[in-house]
Amino acid sequence: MKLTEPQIQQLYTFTQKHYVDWYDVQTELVDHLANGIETQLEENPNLTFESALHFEFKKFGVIGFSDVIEEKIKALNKHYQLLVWHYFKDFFKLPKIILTLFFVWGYFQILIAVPNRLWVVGVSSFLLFVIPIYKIYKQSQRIKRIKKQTNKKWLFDNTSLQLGGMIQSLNIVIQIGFFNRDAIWSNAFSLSFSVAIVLFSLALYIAIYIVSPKLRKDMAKQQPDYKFA
Amino acid sequence: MSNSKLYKGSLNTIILQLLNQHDKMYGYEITQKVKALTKGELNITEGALYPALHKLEAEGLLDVEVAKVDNRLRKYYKLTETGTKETVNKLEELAEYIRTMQALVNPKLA
Repeated sequence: MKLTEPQIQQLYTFTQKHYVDWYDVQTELVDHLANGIETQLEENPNLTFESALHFEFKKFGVIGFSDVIEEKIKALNKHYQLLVWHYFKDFFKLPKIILTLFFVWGYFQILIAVPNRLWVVGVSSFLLFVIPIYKIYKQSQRIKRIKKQTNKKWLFDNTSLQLGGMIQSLNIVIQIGFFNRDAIWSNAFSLSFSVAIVLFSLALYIAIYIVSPKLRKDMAKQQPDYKFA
Repeated sequence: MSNSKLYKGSLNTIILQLLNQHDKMYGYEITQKVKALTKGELNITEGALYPALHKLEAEGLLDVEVAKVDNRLRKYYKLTETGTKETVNKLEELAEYIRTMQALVNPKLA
C-alpha cells in the first residue's frame, strides 16, 4: 500500500516538529519513514498510519533525528572545506602560482613603500571584512526570498552562508587592523605578513566566489525542487 | 545490529560494497538489503546509516541523485570513480582484518 500525498505532507510536518528545518534533510527522512510505514502496513493492514509512524521513528533512537542532522551539518562543512582546499592548492601550481607570488610581492612592495603602514593594514583588513559580510548579507537575503516563495530552507544554502564554518575566521580580520600596531616591522616580518594576508584573502575568495556558487549549481542539478534564484 | 561494536568499523565497507554491486540505492533499501543478505543477523540502525552515507558523500566517494518515485522524492546514492577505487581498498583491508582475527582466534584454520 502506497502512502497518499497528504500522508507524505504529514511526514514532512512530523520531521519539522522534530527539529528538522532543512528541506533537503527532511526529504530523505520522509522517504525513509514512508518506506518503513508502507512495509508495516503491508505486513499488518490493521495498523494505523500513526502507530506505524511512531514505530518507525523509534528506530532512530532516543535522540530522534538530532544525530542525523548534526552529522549531516558536519559532513557538509567538511565537504565545503575540502572543496576550498582543492581550489586553494591550484594557486600553488603553475600557472596560478605566478599570480599568488605576484600578489605577495605586490602587497609587500606597497607595505614597505607607504610611509604609514597602518593605512595599508587598515584598508586591507577593512576590505577583507566588508566584502565577505556584504556577500553573506546578499546570500541571506536570497535565502529569505526563497523561504518566502517556496516555504523551504536548504541546509546546503546554510553551509554556503557560513562558508563551511570559515565565517569564524572573519574575527581574525578585525584583529589584523590592530596587529603589532606600534612596533617597527622588519622586511622579513612584512614579507611574512604579506604571505599571510594573501593566503587568507585567497581562501576567502575561493569560498565566496568559487565554492559557494559551485555548491548551489551542484544542488540545483541534484535536487529538482531547489530554486536556483 | 546483533553486536554493534564488532560491525561498527565495517559499516562504510558494507555500504560501499553494496553500492558496488548495485547501480544505485537509497537509504531504506540498504538497511533492508543488509537484513536480507545476513538473514536478519545484521541490522543497520537508521542513526548509524545516514551519518555514514553523508560522510562518504562529503568525502567524494558517493554521488547523489534525487528522483520522484510514487508521490515523494527519493535520494539515491551511487559510487563515484574514487568511491569505486576506495571500495577495493576497503575490501582488501577487511579481508586482511578477517585473516588476522582468524589467526588469533582459530590458528588451525588460518
